[in-house]
Amino acid sequence: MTEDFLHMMRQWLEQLEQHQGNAKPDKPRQPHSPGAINPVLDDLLFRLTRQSEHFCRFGEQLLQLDSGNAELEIDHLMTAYQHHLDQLSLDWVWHGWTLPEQLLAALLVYAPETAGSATALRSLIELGQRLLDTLSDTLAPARLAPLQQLLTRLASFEQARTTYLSQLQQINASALTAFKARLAELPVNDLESLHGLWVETHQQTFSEQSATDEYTRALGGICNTAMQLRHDWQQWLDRMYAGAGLVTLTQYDELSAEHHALRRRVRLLERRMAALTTAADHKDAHEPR
Amino acid sequence: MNHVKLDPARARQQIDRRRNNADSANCESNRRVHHRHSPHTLIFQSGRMRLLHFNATTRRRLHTPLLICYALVNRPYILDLSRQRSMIARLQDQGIDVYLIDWGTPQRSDRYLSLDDYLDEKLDLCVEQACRHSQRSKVNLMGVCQGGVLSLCYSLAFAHRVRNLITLVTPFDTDPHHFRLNRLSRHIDTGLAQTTYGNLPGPLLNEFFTQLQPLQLTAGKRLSAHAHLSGDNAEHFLLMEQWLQDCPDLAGTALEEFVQLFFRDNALMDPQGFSICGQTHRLAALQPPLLNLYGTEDTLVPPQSTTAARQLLQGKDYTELALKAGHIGMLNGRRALEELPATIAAWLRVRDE
Repeated sequence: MTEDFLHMMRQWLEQLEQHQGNAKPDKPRQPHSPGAINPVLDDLLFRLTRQSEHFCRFGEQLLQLDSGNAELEIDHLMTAYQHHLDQLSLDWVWHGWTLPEQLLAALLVYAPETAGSATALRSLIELGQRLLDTLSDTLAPARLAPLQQLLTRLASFEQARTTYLSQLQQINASALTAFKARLAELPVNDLESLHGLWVETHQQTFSEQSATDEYTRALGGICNTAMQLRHDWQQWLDRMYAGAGLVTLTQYDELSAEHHALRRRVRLLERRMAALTTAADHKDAHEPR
Repeated sequence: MNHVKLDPARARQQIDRRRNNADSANCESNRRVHHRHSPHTLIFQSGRMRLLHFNATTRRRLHTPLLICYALVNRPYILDLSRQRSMIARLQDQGIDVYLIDWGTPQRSDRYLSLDDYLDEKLDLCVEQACRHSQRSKVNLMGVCQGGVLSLCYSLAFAHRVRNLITLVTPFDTDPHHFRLNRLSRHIDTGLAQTTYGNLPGPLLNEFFTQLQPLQLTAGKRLSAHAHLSGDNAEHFLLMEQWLQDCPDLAGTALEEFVQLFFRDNALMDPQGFSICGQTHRLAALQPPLLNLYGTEDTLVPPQSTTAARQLLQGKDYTELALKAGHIGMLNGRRALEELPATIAAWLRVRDE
């Protein structure tokens, strides 16, 4: 266990150094004059054109699969699309439902290459459980309970994520079957039309299958477990902040709630006062002089 | 069929063209896009909310000003994206004085802002200020998307303040059978969202909207981005994309109440009515004349959702107009910009004081 922990710390430090040396390692830096370019636009352009780069890579792969007589085997094509779709699904889930920052950092250190996979998260949960089991002899139950609760939340999230991913995989499989059928009906001979047909077929299948109760339940499941985990994590941090004598977000929120209640009261009194003034003006105007 | 016959030369050409276009798309000029808004003045500010005034550009003017109530989702500048693509500029050219509410970005302390706060306080303050500034006793109110629902509620609760009401791409009937957004979100615990995040983060909401058409909005749309970025239309394309990403956080309590009332309870369609601003209101009791505008290609707020108003408002001064356009196309598309401002002005003119 100690060795695992030391190994983790070492990896963490390495990651930290890398991060400080290069804030966005996967993004090519563009040479530009300082202050002239809007960084938000810079980032937007990168995201907009990234898809084209994927397309080019994908096209190159397809051409390599080409048997030499300008024909692609459908099965090879399907495997390539299947791979692409699986990767996209993992990306959606990874970016759409992120872990709380500190947990994410721990996962990235623990499994830098495979952090997005279900196996990595499961393995981290197991490691956490082993750690808690070890600490259970020395840590007070009041301190242990919230940590155990967090681990349970993390496990629920992992389960919900697996269920949702399996829904996406079912949709992808149906989309590929439909795509294969449409290719038989509509022969295409260029990459762009092929890609267009694929997107269109996938969208159609997705619209149909995402309407099912299974899908919406799986979507609700991943959203709710991700939020519950984040919520409990924040509660745990709040307890630590409070223990250190710092103001917590909960305390700040309580003050905000009071402020809003007072603001509503002021608005109500202002209205009453305006109504009374109007009534008084009206009375003055109609009284005999 | 076991094979797809690809033309390798053509495939190579398509790959190379895309590579060249991607290079030119990343050129410096594309990274210096500027918004050129129509001239306007800030006439009122309360917290982060601002009320902007756009003066009519013609001599012949409508007496009653038009107050635009935009949704709390996304930013209102889509209505004035550039001089070429500005719904507001076209309305000004029709002789309409326009007031626009910019709700701003809620801070953490705004998480307790309720729907009543938005209607009874924020929107009401804007109506009051627009009336005072224009020296009129009423406004014409135009609500966009979710802003349309807010405008309907306001017109029910404060009928004496609204001369005419216009709803643009506004959901009335949110039955999950045809309203996908409601169907997709029905198992999501909005109370938990409020407790967890306070205000719902804008980027998270954007991710959720992408869920409606995941592959179309990522691989499909962005795959053609290179062509838009290397042509004459590049600036407009980038402004649009920038706007799409620019989603403010949503005040937690107001969002939770909105989803419960107008999605889960489908309150606007409830013949028994719904409670807002301390009173029960029924859509059928709406007093101001209503012009209801929608897009036949709208996938976010589908036509069935919008046209449901027709049944409920039978016998009232109710006008409906559809254009062949999508949700955003109705706000910013060429066809909408050509047709809607003139239609709105003509409809208002015969109902002006």
